Amino acid sequence: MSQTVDAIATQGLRKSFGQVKALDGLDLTVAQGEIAGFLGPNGAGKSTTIRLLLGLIRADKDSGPARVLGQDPWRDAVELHKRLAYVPGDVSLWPTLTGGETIDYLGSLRGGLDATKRDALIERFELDPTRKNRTYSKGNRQKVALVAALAADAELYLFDEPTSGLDPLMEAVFTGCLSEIKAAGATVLLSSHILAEVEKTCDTVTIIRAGRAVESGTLADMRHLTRSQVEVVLRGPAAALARVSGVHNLQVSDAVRASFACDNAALEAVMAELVELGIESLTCTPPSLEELFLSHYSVPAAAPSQLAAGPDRHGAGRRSDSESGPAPAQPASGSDQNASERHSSSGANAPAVASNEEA
Amino acid sequence: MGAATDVRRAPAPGVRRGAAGGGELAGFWKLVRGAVRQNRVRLIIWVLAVPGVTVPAISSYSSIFETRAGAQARAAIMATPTGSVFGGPGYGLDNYDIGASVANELLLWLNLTVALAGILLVIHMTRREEETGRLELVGAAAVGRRAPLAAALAVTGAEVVLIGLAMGLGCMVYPELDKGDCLAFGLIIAVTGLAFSGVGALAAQLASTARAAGGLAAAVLGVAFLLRAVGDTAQVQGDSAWASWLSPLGWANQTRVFVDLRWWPVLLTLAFAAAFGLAAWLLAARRDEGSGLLATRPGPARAPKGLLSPSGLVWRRTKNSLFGWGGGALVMCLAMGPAIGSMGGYLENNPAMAQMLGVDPAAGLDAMVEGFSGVIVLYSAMLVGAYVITQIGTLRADEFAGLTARCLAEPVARGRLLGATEITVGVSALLGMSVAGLGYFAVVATDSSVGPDVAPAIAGSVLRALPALIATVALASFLTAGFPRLAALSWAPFAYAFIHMLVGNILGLPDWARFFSQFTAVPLAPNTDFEWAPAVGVLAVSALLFYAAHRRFATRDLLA
Amino acid sequence: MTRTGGQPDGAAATEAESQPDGIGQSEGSRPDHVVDVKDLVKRYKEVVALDHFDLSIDKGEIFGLLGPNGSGKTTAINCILQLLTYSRGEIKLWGEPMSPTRYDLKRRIGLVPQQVAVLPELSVTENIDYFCSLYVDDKARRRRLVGEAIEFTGLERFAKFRPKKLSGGLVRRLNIACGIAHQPSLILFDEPTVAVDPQSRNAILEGIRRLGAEGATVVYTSHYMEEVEQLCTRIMIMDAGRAVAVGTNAELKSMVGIGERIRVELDFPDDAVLAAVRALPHTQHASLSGQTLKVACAPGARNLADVVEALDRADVSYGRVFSEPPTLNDVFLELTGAELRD
Repeated sequence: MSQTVDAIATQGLRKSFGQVKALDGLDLTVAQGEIAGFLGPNGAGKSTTIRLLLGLIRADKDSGPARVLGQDPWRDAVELHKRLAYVPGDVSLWPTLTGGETIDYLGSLRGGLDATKRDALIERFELDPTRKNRTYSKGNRQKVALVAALAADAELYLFDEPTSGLDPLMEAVFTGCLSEIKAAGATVLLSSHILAEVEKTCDTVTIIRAGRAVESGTLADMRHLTRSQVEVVLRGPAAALARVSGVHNLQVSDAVRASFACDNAALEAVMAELVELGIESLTCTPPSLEELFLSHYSVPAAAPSQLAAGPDRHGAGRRSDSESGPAPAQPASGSDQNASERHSSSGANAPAVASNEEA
Repeated sequence: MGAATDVRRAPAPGVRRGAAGGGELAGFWKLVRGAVRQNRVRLIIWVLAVPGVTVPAISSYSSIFETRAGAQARAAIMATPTGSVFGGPGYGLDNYDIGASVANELLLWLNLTVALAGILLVIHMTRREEETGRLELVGAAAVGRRAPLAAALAVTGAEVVLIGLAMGLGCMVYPELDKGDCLAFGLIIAVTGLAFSGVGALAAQLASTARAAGGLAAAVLGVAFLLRAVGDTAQVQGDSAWASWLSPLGWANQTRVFVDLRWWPVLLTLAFAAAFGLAAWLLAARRDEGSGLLATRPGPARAPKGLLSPSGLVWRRTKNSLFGWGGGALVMCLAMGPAIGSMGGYLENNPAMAQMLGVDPAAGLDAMVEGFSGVIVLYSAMLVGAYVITQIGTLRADEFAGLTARCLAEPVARGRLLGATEITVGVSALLGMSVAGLGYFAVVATDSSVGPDVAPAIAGSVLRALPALIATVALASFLTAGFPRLAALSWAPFAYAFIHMLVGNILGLPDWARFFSQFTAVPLAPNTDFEWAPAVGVLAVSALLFYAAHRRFATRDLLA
Repeated sequence: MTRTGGQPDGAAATEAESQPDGIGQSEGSRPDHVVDVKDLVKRYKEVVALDHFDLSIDKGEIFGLLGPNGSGKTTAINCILQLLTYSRGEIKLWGEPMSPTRYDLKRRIGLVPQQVAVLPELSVTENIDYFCSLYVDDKARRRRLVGEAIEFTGLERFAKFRPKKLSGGLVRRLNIACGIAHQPSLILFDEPTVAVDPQSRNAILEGIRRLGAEGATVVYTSHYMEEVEQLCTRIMIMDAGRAVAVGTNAELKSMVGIGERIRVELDFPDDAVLAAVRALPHTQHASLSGQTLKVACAPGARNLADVVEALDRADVSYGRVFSEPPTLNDVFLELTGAELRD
């Protein structure tokens, strides 16, 4: 069996800017052919990671290794970039060039773009390539960057907030492009704040916080260990469901109306029970990525150095801003917090989700 | 927040003053206060720096004027074409004292500085406010439609007046300068500043970006400078030819402050300021926010072949700048033609002056031309050097904007990007300098009143300046690519060269002091001997800087 | 044919054209309408940014304005604020005609623009005070308002900070504070959550809900469908300078053909089950991709029940089942995507 190299593999990656630790032992693995989501609060280290993978900055001396498509991103940068494509967040362009010229120029740096592909993408994204860059809105600038990257024939695509500024129509076009990339066997690392987008398109997700990966695995894995919310109106008494295993937090009203959280592993059996009781109406919704992962964005009350803002509205999990100024330097207490939270797709997730649903 | 709900249901008391409460200028004073607070650092620096640097410099003049001979020698320099171009029409030369010297030598530069201050300030407070979206936020408030423009004009106007007054008051420190004239001096500077603030305000309405507005206003300033220069050199000793009367800079000189003060040219400047300000005012009403009146034309959908390489992109972005700065140098050189012609005539008619300069009239012209050619070549080199620094500076701007990062994500080595910029800017700078030099050479060679040896000597002089340009590229590259936050230091050798040139002799600087700037390291004047050592030294230092630039750029983290 | 409507008495969204006798328009502006825009036309040379655009917003609504880039959302807002001139149209706020010098009306409006437009050299408190001073003259009252705004947006700890020391989410909150400090009755939010992390985004949405609860009327422009769905009481979809559809979330979704989408992860792909599901009365479309059975159903309460029963009858084993109601995104894509393709 041939050994396929991971598209991205980092182990214990470290990067500091002066006193500030931007990356504090990051482990990130993306297999080839995968669309990997990359999530985290502002200041967690997402952009630093991507810049490191692109050879724009160099890891610390005591850092663990990083490999992109089997090569060293700093030393072999030029070689490696023939196989990579990149879309930065918040794009800046040369004001006096037109969109079309910009795309062609960037393409020329990699030896030229496939003209048919380029033209097709320009049309799909409804971009007017004759307008000067400075007349473009944010969304249009984003489109220029997208076309320039998507028209390249790369093995690995690095996207940093690629759809910010795009309207849903164009987002749908982008998602279509992602499917095509996947079908061609290429790999994608998608860093985004838009959880719905990640949920729809990614195979795996890694969450980074304070320079470390705190969560990583496939969405399916993570969902599997969680529960779907079921609302049902039965023809028989709904109280009978209390005894069915896999049913949690059962609430019955009007004797026949029930609402409960159901372990995904037990869904088939529960559905069979429902069919036996007789279903009048049924809805079943999976947990959203937002519910699953929002807990990772909030800062626990214990850490004194982290600034919270605003009154606590929901009780479970404080909403607060974990960043102020440059990437936060996490003191010892903060990293202990991370250590206790750091797990990948373990059962510890389930109770967290349940408590959110109960709230 | 119960009280808040009540407020929302009914308008706050006292608000219903009527539909036009405040009219078009509602909120004017609030905006002024906001603008002053927002820009306080900038405003304070200008007001302190301009007099702070110039007023003490005047004290260095007293040594010149100790003897009558010294004074007259200085006056003679003012009478030369260089003096006219970079000073003024030269009045009061028979009785040259400190006052006259301040008027002839400093007034122009002060006017240029305050004009620049006015342009930059007014554009910053109008166009830039639009670009950041603040104007939209302000416009939505209970603020008159033209109040922001009025506030910008008011603050800029007040600032230039303050600078002028500070200059005027500063001059009063010197007992040799008449107090009334000092005040006039300050006011003239203030009014010239107002004139160009008006130009900046109009440019901000016409252009579509702050940058374009700045370019437009700077171009107008450049034309004003040129017109005055051409006019002043055409006729020496007092009255300028008509060209100089088309320029606010010329009007300022024509007041003959400190010598024979007459007020009426200032009225022309005031009218100029009012006209431009009014034009800006009227246009502001027509324009939708965020647009400019000069529309942007569409461009090509595909890049031309020439753009498809790092050098191609650099050239595309810098060529306008080259034509601007290099063109400026060329025009200056060509303008020397009529100046030299008239100089010859002047010396023939004024043997006394020729004698004072210690030469016999016939040979005198050659010596004069060779003498001031050094200055012309130096200024040309500095203009082209300014082009170099501003263009290599785009590397820094690109880096902070994340563009360099985007380009380096492609299979292109860092050295290639840097090298492309260095070579394109460097070669074009050398070419630009050569073209300007060629223009000067042609002008001198075709002038029959000048001896045949002068033109070749001038060609040699131009060649001597080339290492300085290479060094400028090297230093700018080293700083921009190596230590982008320190990039502004590239200008240091310019400042040094200026100071060295203006007051070096007076301060009695030792000879080795000239090695601190690439522009003064190699003597440029054709009538001095060419020294190999400094030229080689400059080139050697350049090579080191290039090497260090590449090494550093290849190994450091990118900043954005 | 475009559809618009949205009556205050909750009637289903109806079809209307840009003719002047559209429903509700011939009655004249009612005192409850906070915003009343009729027949607004704005041109930039040849480009028509607003094409006989109508808009009416009632008091207390959180009104969502959706549309692709270039549809005219920001242009409409700027016209209402009198920042742009327009060739045709009538704009009334609280029943009064709006003009650039109606400062009394402007004082009741707050704007939170898309671009963060704060003054970099001033602290948080100074910034809010500056913008508030453009609306409120009384110093004492202003001081109180600034304090309340800081508290509302949770910026107490950062009151003395300059914007450059604040993170993206915090600066956005400052932007909001500057826009609402003077406690306007009508607040216009122009895409306030672009590129904002989910936590700050939730804080912002929560803040907007509170503003609505306190009696303000809110106009909210965004691309993020989920936000608009969660937040807005009534929604307008715009395209090419016109209103394409107006109504509540439920009304808009009823305009779209799809009732819900069901996904079942079968343990083994089974064509018989596919056929059985296709035969169900409400099935519009069913497909099998790998092991996943995807079904699109017309609106109906029994959709999922029918599918589960069909699976049960076919004695097929399966893993997870998902039922997704149509999202606003579906509505948007169907209403605007289709038109653009014509």
